[in-house]
Amino acid sequence: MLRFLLHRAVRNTLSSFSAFVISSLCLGIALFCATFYVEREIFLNSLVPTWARETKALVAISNNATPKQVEKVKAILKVSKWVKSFSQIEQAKAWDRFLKDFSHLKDIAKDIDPIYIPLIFEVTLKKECLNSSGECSEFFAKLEDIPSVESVFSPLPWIRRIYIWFELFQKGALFFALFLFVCAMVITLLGIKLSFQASKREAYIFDILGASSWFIKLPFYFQGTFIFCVGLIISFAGLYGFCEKIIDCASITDVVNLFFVISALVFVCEVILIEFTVRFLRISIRKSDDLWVQ
Amino acid sequence: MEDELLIFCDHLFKKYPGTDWVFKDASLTIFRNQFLFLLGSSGSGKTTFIKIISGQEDYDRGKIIIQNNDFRKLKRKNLHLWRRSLGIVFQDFRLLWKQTVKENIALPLIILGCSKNEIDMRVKAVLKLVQLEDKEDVVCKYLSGGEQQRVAIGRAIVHSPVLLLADEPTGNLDDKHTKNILELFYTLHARGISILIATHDKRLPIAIPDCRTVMIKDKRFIDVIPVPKSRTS
Repeated sequence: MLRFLLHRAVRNTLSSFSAFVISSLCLGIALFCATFYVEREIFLNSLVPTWARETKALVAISNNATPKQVEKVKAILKVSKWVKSFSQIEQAKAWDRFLKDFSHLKDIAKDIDPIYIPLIFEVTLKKECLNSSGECSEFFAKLEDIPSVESVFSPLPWIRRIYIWFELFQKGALFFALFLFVCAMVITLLGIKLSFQASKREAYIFDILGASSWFIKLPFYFQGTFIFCVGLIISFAGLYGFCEKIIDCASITDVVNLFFVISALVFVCEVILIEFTVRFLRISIRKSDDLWVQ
Repeated sequence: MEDELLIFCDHLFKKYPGTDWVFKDASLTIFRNQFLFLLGSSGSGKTTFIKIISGQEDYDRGKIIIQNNDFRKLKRKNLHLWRRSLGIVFQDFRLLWKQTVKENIALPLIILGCSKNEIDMRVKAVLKLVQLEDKEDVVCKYLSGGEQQRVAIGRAIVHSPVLLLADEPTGNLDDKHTKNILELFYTLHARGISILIATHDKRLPIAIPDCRTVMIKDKRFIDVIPVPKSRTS
Protein backbone atom coordinates (compact mmCIF):
# COMPACT_ATOMS: atom_id res chain seq x y z
CA MET A 1 0.00 0.00 0.00
CA LEU A 2 2.81 2.39 0.94
CA ARG A 3 4.50 1.77 -2.39
CA PHE A 4 1.25 2.56 -4.17
CA LEU A 5 0.82 5.79 -2.20
CA LEU A 6 4.45 6.82 -2.75
CA HIS A 7 4.04 6.15 -6.44
CA ARG A 8 0.99 8.40 -6.48
CA ALA A 9 2.89 11.08 -4.57
CA VAL A 10 5.75 11.00 -7.10
CA ARG A 11 3.27 11.17 -9.96
CA ASN A 12 1.47 14.08 -8.31
CA THR A 13 4.78 15.86 -7.79
CA LEU A 14 5.74 15.39 -11.42
CA SER A 15 2.34 16.59 -12.59
CA SER A 16 2.97 19.93 -10.89
CA PHE A 17 6.75 19.93 -11.23
CA SER A 18 7.23 23.66 -11.80
CA ALA A 19 5.22 24.44 -8.65
CA PHE A 20 7.33 21.87 -6.80
CA VAL A 21 10.62 23.48 -7.91
CA ILE A 22 9.50 27.03 -7.12
CA SER A 23 8.02 26.20 -3.72
CA SER A 24 11.11 24.17 -2.76
CA LEU A 25 13.36 27.08 -3.72
CA CYS A 26 11.22 29.61 -1.85
CA LEU A 27 11.13 27.37 1.21
CA GLY A 28 14.89 26.80 1.04
CA ILE A 29 15.73 30.50 0.80
CA ALA A 30 13.15 31.34 3.49
CA LEU A 31 14.73 28.83 5.87
CA PHE A 32 18.18 30.23 5.08
CA CYS A 33 17.08 33.81 5.76
CA ALA A 34 15.18 32.86 8.93
CA THR A 35 18.23 31.02 10.25
CA PHE A 36 20.39 34.02 9.34
CA TYR A 37 18.05 36.21 11.38
CA VAL A 38 17.83 34.05 14.50
CA GLU A 39 21.52 33.19 14.50
CA ARG A 40 22.57 36.78 13.78
CA GLU A 41 25.00 36.92 16.71
CA ILE A 42 27.05 34.08 15.26
CA PHE A 43 26.99 35.58 11.80
CA LEU A 44 27.80 39.05 13.11
CA ASN A 45 30.73 37.75 15.06
CA SER A 46 31.95 35.95 11.99
CA LEU A 47 31.33 38.85 9.65
CA VAL A 48 32.76 41.68 11.79
CA PRO A 49 36.52 41.46 12.26
CA THR A 50 38.05 40.96 15.72
CA TRP A 51 39.12 44.60 16.07
CA ALA A 52 35.53 45.63 15.60
CA ARG A 53 34.17 43.07 18.03
CA GLU A 54 36.51 44.28 20.74
CA THR A 55 36.45 47.96 19.99
CA LYS A 56 39.31 49.94 21.35
CA ALA A 57 39.78 53.67 21.72
CA LEU A 58 42.96 55.59 22.42
CA VAL A 59 43.05 58.43 24.95
CA ALA A 60 46.14 60.59 24.58
CA ILE A 61 47.12 62.60 27.65
CA SER A 62 48.63 66.02 27.20
CA ASN A 63 52.38 66.25 27.87
CA ASN A 64 51.99 68.91 30.52
CA ALA A 65 49.41 66.99 32.51
CA THR A 66 50.23 66.53 36.16
CA PRO A 67 50.19 63.05 37.77
CA LYS A 68 47.11 64.10 39.67
CA GLN A 69 45.31 64.93 36.44
CA VAL A 70 46.39 61.60 34.95
CA GLU A 71 44.98 59.80 37.99
CA LYS A 72 41.73 61.72 37.54
CA VAL A 73 41.44 60.48 33.93
CA LYS A 74 42.21 56.97 35.13
CA ALA A 75 39.45 57.24 37.75
CA ILE A 76 36.95 58.41 35.11
CA LEU A 77 37.82 55.48 32.89
CA LYS A 78 37.60 53.08 35.80
CA VAL A 79 34.05 54.02 36.81
CA SER A 80 32.66 54.49 33.30
CA LYS A 81 29.92 52.07 32.32
CA TRP A 82 31.22 52.02 28.75
CA VAL A 83 34.75 50.92 29.53
CA LYS A 84 35.50 47.24 29.83
CA SER A 85 39.19 47.66 30.61
CA PHE A 86 42.05 50.01 29.90
CA SER A 87 45.81 49.88 29.95
CA GLN A 88 48.57 52.41 29.69
CA ILE A 89 50.77 52.22 26.62
CA GLU A 90 54.34 52.90 27.71
CA GLN A 91 56.06 55.69 25.81
CA ALA A 92 59.18 53.69 25.02
CA LYS A 93 57.19 50.78 23.71
CA ALA A 94 55.03 53.09 21.65
CA TRP A 95 58.15 54.69 20.21
CA ASP A 96 59.67 51.32 19.27
CA ARG A 97 56.42 50.33 17.61
CA PHE A 98 56.32 53.58 15.67
CA LEU A 99 59.85 53.06 14.41
CA LYS A 100 59.02 49.52 13.45
CA ASP A 101 55.79 50.41 11.61
CA PHE A 102 57.22 53.52 9.92
CA SER A 103 60.79 52.46 9.23
CA HIS A 104 61.02 54.85 6.24
CA LEU A 105 60.67 57.76 8.67
CA LYS A 106 63.61 56.59 10.76
CA ASP A 107 65.89 59.43 9.62
CA ILE A 108 63.40 62.11 10.57
CA ALA A 109 62.45 60.44 13.84
CA LYS A 110 65.96 59.76 15.10
CA ASP A 111 66.27 63.24 16.60
CA ILE A 112 62.95 63.10 18.45
CA ASP A 113 63.01 62.41 22.12
CA PRO A 114 60.50 59.71 23.17
CA ILE A 115 59.65 61.95 26.10
CA TYR A 116 57.53 64.01 23.68
CA ILE A 117 55.27 61.05 22.89
CA PRO A 118 52.09 61.55 24.84
CA LEU A 119 50.95 59.17 27.52
CA ILE A 120 48.24 56.99 25.94
CA PHE A 121 45.54 54.83 27.46
CA GLU A 122 44.25 51.98 25.33
CA VAL A 123 40.58 51.63 26.29
CA THR A 124 38.60 48.46 25.48
CA LEU A 125 34.95 49.33 25.11
CA LYS A 126 31.99 47.35 26.36
CA LYS A 127 29.59 45.88 23.81
CA GLU A 128 26.81 48.16 25.09
CA CYS A 129 28.81 51.06 23.75
CA LEU A 130 28.03 49.91 20.21
CA ASN A 131 24.36 49.52 20.94
CA SER A 132 24.00 53.03 22.37
CA SER A 133 26.73 54.79 20.50
CA GLY A 134 25.15 58.22 21.06
CA GLU A 135 25.72 58.18 24.81
CA CYS A 136 29.05 56.45 24.40
CA SER A 137 30.28 59.06 21.93
CA GLU A 138 29.10 61.75 24.32
CA PHE A 139 31.23 60.19 27.05
CA PHE A 140 34.32 60.35 24.85
CA ALA A 141 33.51 63.91 23.80
CA LYS A 142 33.35 64.91 27.47
CA LEU A 143 36.60 63.06 28.08
CA GLU A 144 38.23 65.02 25.27
CA ASP A 145 37.06 68.26 26.89
CA ILE A 146 39.12 67.57 30.02
CA PRO A 147 42.19 69.92 29.81
CA SER A 148 44.66 67.14 30.60
CA VAL A 149 43.39 65.01 27.68
CA GLU A 150 44.97 65.92 24.39
CA SER A 151 42.80 63.85 22.08
CA VAL A 152 40.63 60.72 21.89
CA PHE A 153 40.81 58.38 18.90
CA SER A 154 37.70 56.21 18.61
CA PRO A 155 36.56 54.02 15.70
CA LEU A 156 33.06 54.14 17.19
CA PRO A 157 31.29 56.02 14.36
CA TRP A 158 32.56 53.49 11.82
CA ILE A 159 31.69 50.47 13.90
CA ARG A 160 28.31 51.92 14.62
CA ARG A 161 27.73 52.36 10.90
CA ILE A 162 28.56 48.68 10.31
CA TYR A 163 26.14 47.70 13.04
CA ILE A 164 23.34 49.86 11.63
CA TRP A 165 23.82 48.32 8.21
CA PHE A 166 23.89 44.86 9.70
CA GLU A 167 20.70 45.51 11.67
CA LEU A 168 18.99 46.69 8.51
CA PHE A 169 20.27 43.63 6.73
CA GLN A 170 18.88 41.38 9.50
CA LYS A 171 15.47 43.02 9.30
CA GLY A 172 15.56 42.64 5.54
CA ALA A 173 16.42 38.97 5.95
CA LEU A 174 13.51 38.46 8.35
CA PHE A 175 11.09 40.22 6.03
CA PHE A 176 12.42 38.30 3.04
CA ALA A 177 12.15 35.01 4.98
CA LEU A 178 8.52 35.70 5.89
CA PHE A 179 7.69 36.79 2.35
CA LEU A 180 9.27 33.70 0.82
CA PHE A 181 7.66 31.46 3.43
CA VAL A 182 4.23 32.80 2.49
CA CYS A 183 5.10 32.39 -1.21
CA ALA A 184 6.26 28.80 -0.60
CA MET A 185 3.05 27.99 1.27
CA VAL A 186 0.84 29.54 -1.41
CA ILE A 187 2.69 27.74 -4.21
CA THR A 188 2.58 24.45 -2.26
CA LEU A 189 -1.15 24.94 -1.84
CA LEU A 190 -1.56 25.62 -5.56
CA GLY A 191 0.62 22.63 -6.45
CA ILE A 192 -1.45 20.34 -4.24
CA LYS A 193 -4.63 21.80 -5.66
CA LEU A 194 -3.36 21.12 -9.18
CA SER A 195 -2.39 17.56 -8.29
CA PHE A 196 -5.72 17.00 -6.59
CA GLN A 197 -7.62 18.36 -9.58
CA ALA A 198 -5.59 16.11 -11.86
CA SER A 199 -6.41 13.07 -9.75
CA LYS A 200 -9.84 13.95 -8.40
CA ARG A 201 -11.50 11.08 -10.21
CA GLU A 202 -9.07 8.71 -8.57
CA ALA A 203 -9.76 10.30 -5.21
CA TYR A 204 -13.49 9.92 -5.84
CA ILE A 205 -13.09 6.23 -6.77
CA PHE A 206 -10.88 5.56 -3.76
CA ASP A 207 -13.49 7.21 -1.57
CA ILE A 208 -16.28 5.09 -3.04
CA LEU A 209 -14.21 1.92 -2.71
CA GLY A 210 -13.81 2.53 1.00
CA ALA A 211 -10.43 4.18 1.25
CA SER A 212 -9.77 5.82 4.60
CA SER A 213 -9.03 9.55 4.72
CA TRP A 214 -5.36 8.75 5.26
CA PHE A 215 -5.24 6.71 2.09
CA ILE A 216 -6.42 9.73 0.11
CA LYS A 217 -4.46 12.31 2.06
CA LEU A 218 -1.10 10.58 2.41
CA PRO A 219 0.13 11.11 -1.17
CA PHE A 220 -0.38 14.85 -0.69
CA TYR A 221 1.46 14.73 2.62
CA PHE A 222 4.28 12.93 0.85
CA GLN A 223 4.21 15.59 -1.85
CA GLY A 224 4.50 18.29 0.81
CA THR A 225 7.30 16.36 2.46
CA PHE A 226 9.21 16.17 -0.83
CA ILE A 227 8.94 19.96 -1.13
CA PHE A 228 10.06 20.39 2.46
CA CYS A 229 13.00 17.99 2.10
CA VAL A 230 14.29 19.68 -1.05
CA GLY A 231 13.87 23.08 0.64
CA LEU A 232 15.75 21.77 3.67
CA ILE A 233 18.61 20.50 1.52
CA ILE A 234 18.81 23.81 -0.37
CA SER A 235 18.86 25.87 2.83
CA PHE A 236 21.34 23.56 4.55
CA ALA A 237 23.65 23.63 1.55
CA GLY A 238 23.33 27.43 1.50
CA LEU A 239 24.10 27.73 5.20
CA TYR A 240 27.02 25.33 4.95
CA GLY A 241 28.47 27.14 1.98
CA PHE A 242 27.93 30.56 3.55
CA CYS A 243 29.27 29.53 6.94
CA GLU A 244 32.20 27.39 5.94
CA LYS A 245 33.30 28.87 2.66
CA ILE A 246 32.39 32.56 2.76
CA ILE A 247 32.42 33.95 6.29
CA ASP A 248 34.29 31.21 8.11
CA CYS A 249 31.96 30.55 11.07
CA ALA A 250 33.40 28.98 14.16
CA SER A 251 31.34 25.86 13.51
CA ILE A 252 28.33 24.97 11.37
CA THR A 253 26.91 22.99 14.32
CA ASP A 254 26.42 26.27 16.21
CA VAL A 255 24.18 27.49 13.42
CA VAL A 256 22.10 24.38 12.74
CA ASN A 257 20.57 23.96 16.20
CA LEU A 258 17.97 26.67 15.71
CA PHE A 259 17.85 25.90 11.99
CA PHE A 260 16.28 22.53 12.77
CA VAL A 261 13.80 24.09 15.20
CA ILE A 262 12.69 26.58 12.51
CA SER A 263 12.52 23.77 9.95
CA ALA A 264 10.32 21.70 12.25
CA LEU A 265 7.96 24.68 12.71
CA VAL A 266 7.82 25.22 8.95
CA PHE A 267 7.04 21.53 8.46
CA VAL A 268 4.19 21.71 10.99
CA CYS A 269 2.78 24.76 9.13
CA GLU A 270 3.02 22.85 5.86
CA VAL A 271 1.24 19.80 7.31
CA ILE A 272 -1.59 21.97 8.65
CA LEU A 273 -1.89 23.70 5.28
CA ILE A 274 -2.04 20.38 3.42
CA GLU A 275 -4.58 18.97 5.86
CA PHE A 276 -6.96 21.89 5.35
CA THR A 277 -6.40 22.04 1.58
CA VAL A 278 -7.07 18.33 1.03
CA ARG A 279 -10.03 18.35 3.41
CA PHE A 280 -11.59 21.27 1.56
CA LEU A 281 -10.90 19.71 -1.86
CA ARG A 282 -12.36 16.37 -0.76
CA ILE A 283 -15.56 18.05 0.35
CA SER A 284 -15.75 19.82 -3.01
CA ILE A 285 -15.41 16.57 -5.01
CA ARG A 286 -17.94 14.76 -2.82
CA LYS A 287 -20.44 17.45 -3.69
CA SER A 288 -19.66 17.53 -7.41
CA ASP A 289 -21.53 15.34 -9.84
CA ASP A 290 -19.78 16.57 -12.97
CA LEU A 291 -16.64 14.49 -12.38
CA TRP A 292 -17.63 11.99 -14.98
CA VAL A 293 -18.95 14.34 -17.61
CA GLN A 294 -16.52 13.99 -20.51
CA MET B 1 -28.56 -17.17 6.19
CA GLU B 2 -31.31 -16.07 3.79
CA ASP B 3 -33.25 -14.22 6.48
CA GLU B 4 -30.39 -12.26 7.99
CA LEU B 5 -31.24 -8.57 7.75
CA LEU B 6 -28.77 -6.53 5.73
CA ILE B 7 -30.47 -3.20 5.06
CA PHE B 8 -33.69 -1.83 6.43
CA CYS B 9 -35.05 1.45 5.09
CA ASP B 10 -37.85 2.72 7.25
CA HIS B 11 -40.13 5.50 5.97
CA LEU B 12 -37.47 7.07 3.84
CA PHE B 13 -37.87 10.60 2.50
CA LYS B 14 -35.54 12.16 -0.01
CA LYS B 15 -35.79 15.35 -2.00
CA TYR B 16 -33.27 17.23 -4.11
CA PRO B 17 -33.38 21.02 -3.81
CA GLY B 18 -35.95 22.53 -6.13
CA THR B 19 -37.47 19.21 -7.19
CA ASP B 20 -40.34 16.95 -6.18
CA TRP B 21 -39.84 14.13 -3.68
CA VAL B 22 -37.73 11.23 -4.96
CA PHE B 23 -38.78 9.00 -2.07
CA LYS B 24 -41.77 9.68 0.08
CA ASP B 25 -42.36 7.35 2.97
CA ALA B 26 -40.55 4.53 1.17
CA SER B 27 -39.66 1.39 3.09
CA LEU B 28 -37.57 -1.56 1.96
CA THR B 29 -35.94 -4.54 3.61
CA ILE B 30 -32.98 -6.29 2.00
CA PHE B 31 -31.81 -9.62 3.37
CA ARG B 32 -28.41 -11.19 3.08
CA ASN B 33 -27.82 -13.45 0.08
CA GLN B 34 -30.76 -11.97 -1.79
CA PHE B 35 -30.77 -11.32 -5.53
CA LEU B 36 -32.83 -8.18 -5.84
CA PHE B 37 -33.85 -6.23 -8.90
CA LEU B 38 -34.82 -2.61 -8.36
CA LEU B 39 -37.04 -1.68 -11.26
CA GLY B 40 -38.12 1.79 -12.20
CA SER B 41 -38.32 4.17 -15.09
CA SER B 42 -35.67 6.82 -15.71
CA GLY B 43 -35.66 9.39 -12.93
CA SER B 44 -37.61 7.18 -10.56
CA GLY B 45 -34.82 7.19 -7.96
CA LYS B 46 -32.86 3.97 -8.59
CA THR B 47 -29.48 5.68 -8.74
CA THR B 48 -30.42 7.90 -5.81
CA PHE B 49 -31.20 4.82 -3.74
CA ILE B 50 -27.81 3.27 -4.60
CA LYS B 51 -26.15 6.58 -3.74
CA ILE B 52 -27.97 6.71 -0.41
CA ILE B 53 -27.03 3.14 0.46
CA SER B 54 -23.38 3.72 -0.48
CA GLY B 55 -23.25 6.95 1.52
CA GLN B 56 -22.78 9.27 -1.45
CA GLU B 57 -26.08 10.98 -0.90
CA ASP B 58 -27.90 11.96 2.26
CA TYR B 59 -31.61 11.43 2.96
CA ASP B 60 -34.02 13.89 4.52
CA ARG B 61 -36.14 11.80 6.85
CA GLY B 62 -36.66 8.22 7.88
CA LYS B 63 -34.24 5.67 9.16
CA ILE B 64 -31.80 3.29 7.55
CA ILE B 65 -30.49 0.37 9.55
CA ILE B 66 -27.44 -1.36 8.11
CA GLN B 67 -26.30 -4.57 9.76
CA ASN B 68 -28.04 -3.48 12.96
CA ASN B 69 -26.39 -0.04 12.92
CA ASP B 70 -28.02 3.31 12.38
CA PHE B 71 -26.70 4.52 9.03
CA ARG B 72 -26.36 8.15 10.08
CA LYS B 73 -24.12 7.18 12.98
CA LEU B 74 -22.21 4.77 10.77
CA LYS B 75 -21.68 7.51 8.19
CA ARG B 76 -20.14 9.83 10.69
CA LYS B 77 -17.36 7.50 11.75
CA ASN B 78 -17.11 4.31 9.76
CA LEU B 79 -18.49 5.02 6.34
CA HIS B 80 -15.29 3.78 4.72
CA LEU B 81 -15.65 0.44 6.53
CA TRP B 82 -19.21 0.01 5.22
CA ARG B 83 -18.05 0.93 1.72
CA ARG B 84 -15.39 -1.76 1.93
CA SER B 85 -18.13 -4.34 2.34
CA LEU B 86 -19.86 -3.04 -0.79
CA GLY B 87 -19.12 -3.61 -4.43
CA ILE B 88 -20.47 -0.93 -6.72
CA VAL B 89 -20.86 -1.20 -10.48
CA PHE B 90 -21.63 2.19 -11.98
CA GLN B 91 -23.62 2.74 -15.11
CA ASP B 92 -20.68 4.62 -16.60
CA PHE B 93 -18.17 2.13 -15.10
CA ARG B 94 -16.04 4.81 -13.42
CA LEU B 95 -12.75 3.12 -14.13
CA LEU B 96 -9.30 4.65 -14.06
CA TRP B 97 -8.94 4.96 -17.81
CA LYS B 98 -5.18 5.32 -17.88
CA GLN B 99 -4.60 2.27 -15.69
CA THR B 100 -4.54 -1.34 -16.82
CA VAL B 101 -7.30 -3.88 -16.21
CA LYS B 102 -5.22 -5.51 -13.49
CA GLU B 103 -4.51 -2.21 -11.73
CA ASN B 104 -8.19 -1.28 -11.77
CA ILE B 105 -9.32 -4.61 -10.38
CA ALA B 106 -6.60 -4.57 -7.71
CA LEU B 107 -7.68 -1.17 -6.30
CA PRO B 108 -10.06 -2.38 -3.55
CA LEU B 109 -7.42 -4.86 -2.38
CA ILE B 110 -4.75 -2.15 -2.22
CA ILE B 111 -7.16 -0.04 -0.19
CA LEU B 112 -7.74 -2.98 2.16
CA GLY B 113 -3.97 -3.30 2.57
CA CYS B 114 -3.67 -6.82 1.15
CA SER B 115 -0.23 -8.26 0.46
CA LYS B 116 1.14 -8.39 -3.09
CA ASN B 117 0.77 -12.16 -3.26
CA GLU B 118 -2.85 -12.04 -2.15
CA ILE B 119 -3.59 -9.24 -4.62
CA ASP B 120 -2.04 -11.23 -7.48
CA MET B 121 -3.93 -14.36 -6.51
CA ARG B 122 -7.32 -12.70 -6.14
CA VAL B 123 -6.98 -10.55 -9.26
CA LYS B 124 -6.06 -13.62 -11.26
CA ALA B 125 -9.14 -15.48 -9.99
CA VAL B 126 -11.41 -12.52 -10.80
CA LEU B 127 -9.89 -12.05 -14.25
CA LYS B 128 -10.76 -15.68 -14.92
CA LEU B 129 -14.28 -15.19 -13.62
CA VAL B 130 -14.95 -12.12 -15.78
CA GLN B 131 -13.13 -13.70 -18.71
CA LEU B 132 -10.48 -11.04 -19.10
CA GLU B 133 -7.40 -13.18 -18.46
CA ASP B 134 -5.80 -12.17 -21.74
CA LYS B 135 -6.45 -8.44 -21.18
CA GLU B 136 -4.90 -7.93 -17.76
CA ASP B 137 -2.21 -5.55 -19.02
CA VAL B 138 -4.41 -3.61 -21.41
CA VAL B 139 -5.12 0.01 -20.54
CA CYS B 140 -8.85 0.38 -19.84
CA LYS B 141 -9.52 3.11 -22.38
CA TYR B 142 -8.67 0.65 -25.16
CA LEU B 143 -11.31 -1.88 -24.07
CA SER B 144 -14.77 -2.31 -25.57
CA GLY B 145 -17.89 -1.32 -23.61
CA GLY B 146 -18.61 -4.93 -22.60
CA GLU B 147 -15.04 -5.45 -21.47
CA GLN B 148 -15.07 -2.24 -19.46
CA GLN B 149 -18.30 -3.39 -17.88
CA ARG B 150 -16.63 -6.66 -16.87
CA VAL B 151 -13.64 -4.77 -15.43
CA ALA B 152 -16.06 -2.70 -13.35
CA ILE B 153 -17.74 -5.89 -12.11
CA GLY B 154 -14.33 -7.45 -11.42
CA ARG B 155 -13.34 -4.42 -9.36
CA ALA B 156 -16.63 -4.61 -7.47
CA ILE B 157 -16.28 -8.29 -6.49
CA VAL B 158 -12.53 -8.79 -6.03
CA HIS B 159 -12.68 -8.08 -2.29
CA SER B 160 -15.65 -10.43 -1.72
CA PRO B 161 -18.20 -7.78 -0.77
CA VAL B 162 -21.28 -8.44 1.31
CA LEU B 163 -23.48 -6.59 -1.14
CA LEU B 164 -22.99 -5.85 -4.82
CA LEU B 165 -24.79 -2.74 -6.04
CA ALA B 166 -25.11 -2.47 -9.82
CA ASP B 167 -26.60 0.61 -11.43
CA GLU B 168 -27.96 -0.19 -14.89
CA PRO B 169 -25.22 -2.74 -15.49
CA THR B 170 -26.63 -3.72 -18.85
CA GLY B 171 -27.73 -0.28 -19.97
CA ASN B 172 -25.04 0.05 -22.63
CA LEU B 173 -24.88 -3.56 -23.70
CA ASP B 174 -26.42 -5.64 -26.46
CA ASP B 175 -28.46 -8.78 -25.72
CA LYS B 176 -25.50 -11.13 -25.95
CA HIS B 177 -23.39 -9.15 -23.48
CA THR B 178 -26.40 -8.61 -21.23
CA LYS B 179 -26.89 -12.38 -21.01
CA ASN B 180 -23.20 -12.88 -20.17
CA ILE B 181 -23.29 -10.23 -17.46
CA LEU B 182 -26.45 -11.67 -15.92
CA GLU B 183 -24.88 -15.11 -15.89
CA LEU B 184 -21.89 -13.63 -14.14
CA PHE B 185 -24.11 -12.02 -11.50
CA TYR B 186 -25.92 -15.30 -11.03
CA THR B 187 -22.57 -17.08 -10.50
CA LEU B 188 -21.56 -14.45 -7.94
CA HIS B 189 -24.87 -14.82 -6.14
CA ALA B 190 -24.32 -18.57 -6.00
CA ARG B 191 -21.02 -17.82 -4.26
CA GLY B 192 -22.82 -15.99 -1.47
CA ILE B 193 -22.79 -12.33 -2.53
CA SER B 194 -26.02 -10.37 -2.07
CA ILE B 195 -26.88 -8.52 -5.23
CA LEU B 196 -28.96 -5.43 -5.93
CA ILE B 197 -29.39 -4.51 -9.57
CA ALA B 198 -31.06 -1.23 -10.43
CA THR B 199 -32.50 -1.32 -13.92
CA HIS B 200 -35.29 -0.01 -16.07
CA ASP B 201 -35.30 -3.22 -18.15
CA LYS B 202 -38.27 -5.31 -17.00
CA ARG B 203 -36.98 -8.37 -18.88
CA LEU B 204 -33.96 -8.84 -16.65
CA PRO B 205 -35.69 -10.30 -13.54
CA ILE B 206 -37.22 -13.00 -15.70
CA ALA B 207 -33.77 -14.29 -16.60
CA ILE B 208 -32.81 -14.93 -12.97
CA PRO B 209 -34.65 -17.67 -11.11
CA ASP B 210 -35.67 -17.09 -7.47
CA CYS B 211 -34.85 -13.40 -7.52
CA ARG B 212 -36.81 -10.70 -5.76
CA THR B 213 -38.08 -7.73 -7.73
CA VAL B 214 -38.95 -4.39 -6.22
CA MET B 215 -40.40 -1.57 -8.23
CA ILE B 216 -40.20 2.12 -7.44
CA LYS B 217 -43.68 3.49 -7.95
CA ASP B 218 -45.22 6.66 -6.60
CA LYS B 219 -41.97 7.35 -4.72
CA ARG B 220 -42.26 4.07 -2.81
CA PHE B 221 -40.89 0.56 -3.05
CA ILE B 222 -43.37 -2.12 -4.10
CA ASP B 223 -42.60 -5.84 -4.30
CA VAL B 224 -43.68 -7.24 -7.66
CA ILE B 225 -43.64 -10.62 -9.40
CA PRO B 226 -42.23 -10.34 -12.90
CA VAL B 227 -44.28 -12.07 -15.55
CA PRO B 228 -42.89 -12.98 -19.00
CA LYS B 229 -44.44 -10.93 -21.80
CA SER B 230 -45.65 -14.05 -23.67
CA ARG B 231 -47.79 -15.01 -20.67
CA THR B 232 -49.34 -11.57 -20.31
CA SER B 233 -50.31 -11.28 -23.95
